[in-house]
This record gives sequence, structure tokens and C-alpha cells, in this order.
Amino acid sequence: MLRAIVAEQMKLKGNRLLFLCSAIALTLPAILVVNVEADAIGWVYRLQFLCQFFLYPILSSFVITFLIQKEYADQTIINSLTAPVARMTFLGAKLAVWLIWYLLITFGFWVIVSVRITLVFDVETLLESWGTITAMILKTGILYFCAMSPIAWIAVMQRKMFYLSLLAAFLMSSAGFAGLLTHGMMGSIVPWFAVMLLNMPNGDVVASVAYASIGTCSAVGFGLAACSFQMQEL
Amino acid sequence: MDLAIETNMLSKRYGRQTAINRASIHVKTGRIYGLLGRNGAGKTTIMKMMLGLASPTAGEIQMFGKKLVGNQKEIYPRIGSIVEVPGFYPNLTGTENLKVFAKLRGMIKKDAVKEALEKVNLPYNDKKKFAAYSLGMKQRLGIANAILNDPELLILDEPTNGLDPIGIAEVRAYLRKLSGSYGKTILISSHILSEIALMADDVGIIHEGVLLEESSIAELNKRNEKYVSVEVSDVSLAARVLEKSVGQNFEVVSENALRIYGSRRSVSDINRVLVEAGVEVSELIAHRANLEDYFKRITGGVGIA
Ligand SMILES: Nc1ncnc2c1ncn2[C@@H]1O[C@H](COP(=O)(O)OP(=O)(O)OP(=O)(O)O)[C@@H](O)[C@H]1O
Ligand SMILES: [Mg+2]
Repeated sequence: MLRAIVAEQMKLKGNRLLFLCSAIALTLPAILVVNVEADAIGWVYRLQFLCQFFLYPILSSFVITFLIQKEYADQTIINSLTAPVARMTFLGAKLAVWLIWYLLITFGFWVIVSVRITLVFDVETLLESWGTITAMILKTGILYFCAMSPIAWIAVMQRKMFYLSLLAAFLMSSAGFAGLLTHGMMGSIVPWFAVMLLNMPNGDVVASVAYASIGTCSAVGFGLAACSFQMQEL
Repeated sequence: MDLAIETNMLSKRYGRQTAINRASIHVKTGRIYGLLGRNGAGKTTIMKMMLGLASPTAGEIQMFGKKLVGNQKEIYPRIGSIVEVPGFYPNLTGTENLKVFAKLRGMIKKDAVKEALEKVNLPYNDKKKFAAYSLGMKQRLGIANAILNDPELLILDEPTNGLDPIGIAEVRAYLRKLSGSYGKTILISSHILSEIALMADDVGIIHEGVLLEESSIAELNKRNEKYVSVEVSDVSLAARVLEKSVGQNFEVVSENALRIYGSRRSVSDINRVLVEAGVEVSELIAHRANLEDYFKRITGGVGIA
């Protein structure tokens, strides 16, 4: 598995799309103007809205789509699998790269937010709210990654195509915003609503159901990706 | 003789279409086996099933004397392959590409990439990206990748596609050397008869998913040494007469000509039988058939390139 991940890294040399996605993901939170009318938490919350709930899901779907789709389009998947590499190892390495990218971007976002809070507010504010902010960003990052897992399945199924998974990511992210209009059981049972509501300060959500639905979603998403890839005819 | 690959009634259906129909292929260890068939015959499909890229609908594959199912981990590292087109990362150079696949294989031999590139006459460590390679260079890189881990068995799907005649001759000589001097087994597919005839020891002819014939090239040549062409006044009468005397072994090639294959009867004997039955024979010639005619006949007239 480690070998496959190292090989993934070798493949990314001179890769513009990944670079571009990372650049956008880190530049926007650094330059976005957010009104300072609320407290630091509220300020972070608004930035999260644009980045973690909209930008990152879309960008990360570009990343996983690109990682998988290119293997089909360039037919490199055949030489890889006959190398031989077990199909689960191959897919696992792709998902690992996706997760690593996602975590690095989330970490970058956290750093940028921390720096900006000291600039917009002051160091005391940062120290006071750091724990809360870190938890917010990390929780949203991880939960959103789980809720996005069906994208991996679509990326495998669509082979050389790419717009299906991008469209799906857009729909999921939109669903998150639609989730703001829901509450209670309804808001908890749909994983993309749940991610949104769980992050909301005082969001009306049944936490156990919400976590369960996101967990189920990721199990189903990654499970389907694994099964379909294992059985896929190439 | 040991078999490196053996398939038993292997079938593959795509929806309602039968791509491979009960093919039993026998690839002997240390020999070059040419899988010959026209476009869409099913060559790639067979190789994909052997390599685990597609799963058989029915039938079984054995490699190195073991069932493929359940032994993939042990079998696949002993195989090098090219399937359809040489798929490489366009943003990397040839050397970098091979290093990726060497990494995936977990190879330890240090100079393997360099040696493989040398063998196919590609430069090591040059700056050219795969995207800028010519078709022939791409194909060479595909061959280099297939031989990277010095495999016992090579499964090559049309490896000379896109090479110029000199390139084809080089690859042919190289593959012959691999099999002759190093005892490698090679399964190679092609739709070009002359290529297979020049390179292979054994040949399997596949047509519309059916393995029509499997034998050694030497045997084929022997078997198809002769045919007798006959020009007659009345083909249908002649056909009826021949059916009784030589069996099914003839074909009508035009409205007044027939060919009789592999008959033990002499030319004069055939002449006598026809004339006695009232058929006017205007010409009767004994020929050496070539493989091309033979393929044309067994594929039902469509022939092969
Ligand atoms: N994934 C697939 N789905 C449906 N049909 C397929 C698929 N792959 C192959 N076929 C069909 O199976 C048959 C055999 O195809 P295959 O690619 O094995 O032929 P081939 O002998 O390799 O031809 P070529 O010389 O053109 O490469 C064809 O009729 C093809 O249309
Ligand atoms: Mg083919």
C-alpha cells in the first residue's frame, strides 16, 4: 500500500490541476473579506461557509475525479493493475491521496484562519477561541470528507467521464445549504444536511442520528466504490 | 510439453453478444504462440481475461499449471504484458513512467529501468515527456514496461502496432531471442498473418470469438502444402461428384472453378473421376497453398490481412 501511495506521488509530478486546486483552496480564505460584526467564532463560521462547505467539496471532487478519471483516459490503469497491483491497493492509494490532500488543505485553512484572527481581532481572541475554532474546522473537514465518499464511487463508475462526479459534488454541496432550511429529524437523516447542521452553533439536529447518517453514507460510498472497482471490467 | 497457459472452454459474453465462445488455448512453455484474428475477433478479450482485467463468463484459465482463480498473487508477478494501447502518464518522461511501474511492482534490481529502455532502443533519463512520444516510441516503451521485471511469460497484444517495418523486424528479432535464448514464453496477438508466420512457433486462429484452429506453424505449412485447382464446365455437377470421392475437402471458387485440398488422390485420379461422371475438365493444376489461402478458407472466406 505504501508503495502504491509513493507511486501516486511520483505520478503527480508537474501536475497543474492539483497545484491549481490547492492554490485556490488556500488563497481564497486568505483574501476573502468577511464583515467583522460578530465575534471571532461567528467570523470563522462565515469563512467556513464559503470554504469548507462550498469551495472544498467542489475542489476536492476535482481532485479525486482527476486522480481516477485520468487513469482510465490515459489507459494507465491497465499497466498499473497488471504490474500487478491489487485493485483494492490501487483504489486505496487513490483515496489515501485524496484524504491527505483534504487534510492538508483543512490544516492550511486552520492556519490561515488562525493568522487572520490575530490580524482582524487580536492574539487574546485567538487564544481564547482557538480550541473551539480548531474543533469546528476539524470536525467539519472530517465529516464533510465522509459525506463526500459517494463521489469516489461515481468517479470509479464514470471511467473516462468526469462531469458526473463534479455535478454530484455540486449537488451535495448545494444540498448542504438547502439543509439550513431544515431542522430536527429531517435535517439529521440526510447526511449532507447533517454535516451543515452539526457545524451550526445551536443547530437543531439529532446528533446521534446525524452522526449515524454520515457514518452510513461514508460506509456505503466507500463500500460501493470498492465493490464496483473490484468487479469492473476494464 | 509443459503448458504456460491453458484455457478450458473459456467464454465471455457482453450482454447478448458472445465475444469468446468456448476457446481452449494451449500455450507451451518456452514457445511463441501467435493468436491470429481479424479486428473484433476477440484477441484482446482473451488476454484481458488471462490478466484479470475482465472476468470470464464461463470456463477456466490455468497458468504455470495452476488455476488462475485464487493464485493471482503468485502468478501475475511472473507475467509482463501489453494490452491494446501502451498506457503511460503523459506528464512524465519514459524513464519516470517506468520508475512508477517499477515502484508499483516493488522491484529491487537497480538498473532494471535502464536495461529495459536500452533493449528497446529508447534513451534513459532524457527530457521528452511521454505525451510528445511518437507512436513507435510509445509502443517501444510499452515493450520495455512488459520486460521490466524479466518475466517468464509475456502476453503482448499487438505489440508492433504503429512500428515501421524496421521496428517490426527489430521487435521480432528481439522476441525470438527472448524465447530462443532465454526460454521465455510469449503469447502475442496480431491481425497480420505474415508477422505471426515469421515469428511464432504455434498459432491459434480466432474468428468471431471461436478458436478455429490451433497448431504449430510447421504443421500448418505441411498440412497445407497442396491443393488442386480444377476448371470445369459444370461446377455443381463436379461438386456432387467430388463430394462422393474426396469428401468435404473442396470449395467452389467461381462459377467454373473448384479447389480440392489435402486430397491423397493424384491429379490424374481426380481428372478420371470427373470425366467419368461427365464433367468437362478444361484445366487441372496442383498448387502449393499458402497460409493466407488457408485462413481464408477456414474463416469462411473473409480471410485475414
Ligand atoms: N467492454 C465491452 N463491452 C461490450 N463488448 C465488448 C467489450 N469489449 C469487447 N467487446 C466486443 O467483443 C468482441 C471482441 O473484441 P476484442 O477487443 O477482443 O477484439 P480484438 O480481436 O482484440 O480486435 P482488434 O484487432 O480490433 O483489437 C468485439 O465484438 C467487441 O465489440
Ligand atoms: Mg484488440
